[in-house]
Amino acid sequence: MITRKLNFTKLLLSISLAVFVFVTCKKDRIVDKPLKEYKSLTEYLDSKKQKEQEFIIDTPGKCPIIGLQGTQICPSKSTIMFTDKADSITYPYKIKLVELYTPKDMIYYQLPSVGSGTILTTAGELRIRAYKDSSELILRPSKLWSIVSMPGKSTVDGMKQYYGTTTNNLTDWTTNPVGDFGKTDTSYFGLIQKLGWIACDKDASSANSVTITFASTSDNLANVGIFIYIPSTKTIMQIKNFVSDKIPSGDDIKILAFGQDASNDFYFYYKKMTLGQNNEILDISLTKTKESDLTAKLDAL
Amino acid sequence: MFRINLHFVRVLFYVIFIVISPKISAQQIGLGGSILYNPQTESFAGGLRVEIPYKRISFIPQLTYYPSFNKISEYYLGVATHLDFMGTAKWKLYAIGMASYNRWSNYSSKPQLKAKPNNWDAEFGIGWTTRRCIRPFIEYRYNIKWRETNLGIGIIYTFRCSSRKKRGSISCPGH
Repeated sequence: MITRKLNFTKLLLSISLAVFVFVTCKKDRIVDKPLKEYKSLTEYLDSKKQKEQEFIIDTPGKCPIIGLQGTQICPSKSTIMFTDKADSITYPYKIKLVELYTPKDMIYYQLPSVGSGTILTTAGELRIRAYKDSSELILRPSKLWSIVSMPGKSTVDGMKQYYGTTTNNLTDWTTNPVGDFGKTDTSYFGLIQKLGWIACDKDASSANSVTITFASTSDNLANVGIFIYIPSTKTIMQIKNFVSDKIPSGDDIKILAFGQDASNDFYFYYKKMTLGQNNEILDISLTKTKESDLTAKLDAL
Repeated sequence: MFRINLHFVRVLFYVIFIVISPKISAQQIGLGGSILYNPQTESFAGGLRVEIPYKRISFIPQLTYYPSFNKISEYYLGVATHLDFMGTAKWKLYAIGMASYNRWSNYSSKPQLKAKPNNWDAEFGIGWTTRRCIRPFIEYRYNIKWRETNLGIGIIYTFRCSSRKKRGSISCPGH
């Protein structure tokens, strides 16, 4: 009787164990989990990007106007006109200014320092626009405006004026810069020939370059913002279609990718690496983070 | 990393052998092979084992290899302990506990698994066998690390078994 009870207990234990095993089994090693999905970053980045500053010019001699980050511009009423008529502009008119000097601000604005696939050393990106009421104005032919100062910590020679062209809300820098920037120890200056986007840049490309292809087995990268920062050239690159532009071999780079899910939680990936001689494929995986930590990473680039 | 792990396994084998060797002289050591199927990875494996019995407990150093034609190709090198807990004069059921080193050959990066090519595993399960000199066995084991099961069938040949004429049909005194 006791033996029967014992055998029954053992049998019950065995069945319980079998049920436990059946319930907890997983096929993770052969079945891929669904990728983590993210929503578009546009709304978030737009909320963080540098605000456009407005200056009302209502009297002569308002030179220079000074932006919040130290940009100094000398506007001139006599050198601007409407796009469709050469009439003189009367006071008051308005100048709008966007200043992008840090990698973080360029990332928030999604305005990398890459022109038509060529990486550029950048000292800053500006958007200077003039308005009479709601009409956007342009410079008269052969007339120039003076950028008195674009602040820079350690200025370098050979910086040129790269103008930006915006198509379908995407801005790209010209491949053929027109005009130079001069420099002091702490700033750049120059006479610009067009209003709109202008960057103080120079070509940083190299014949010996490689690309990085981004992939992930855990995250859907379609809406993930992926950026590469090259400290030696102060280049910001935004990855489109999961493949980077050409980067000089041997460069130290910082990679930052981040996304926001439907619950507005942030996820990010960060990596420092030195590029080799061959193209690389990088399998990235984003981890949950706080917005403050993400901002700190962007500040530290 | 791989060399260190193999060294660990080797040391483990030596320790077990030294501890139990004086006590197994009167027992019959068995040598066997098996075929295993892992339904979670849909993979087949071949296994080799040595069975060192001591009273109701047996120590079974073993190697299991899942060849490259499988979705998961890997091998396990480990030591199992069997505890006989139920049976008759002709058969017995035993509980299995096992620790092993796992080398996942076609490992691919799966961040959600936190998987690595070199792993330590623990398994437990249940087995059935007879008490004859050439003994078929069936085992069902659960791998705690991967949360996978495997079903194995095999045969053990027992050395120094009493009958040489009818090894397959005569009960082995050691069991």
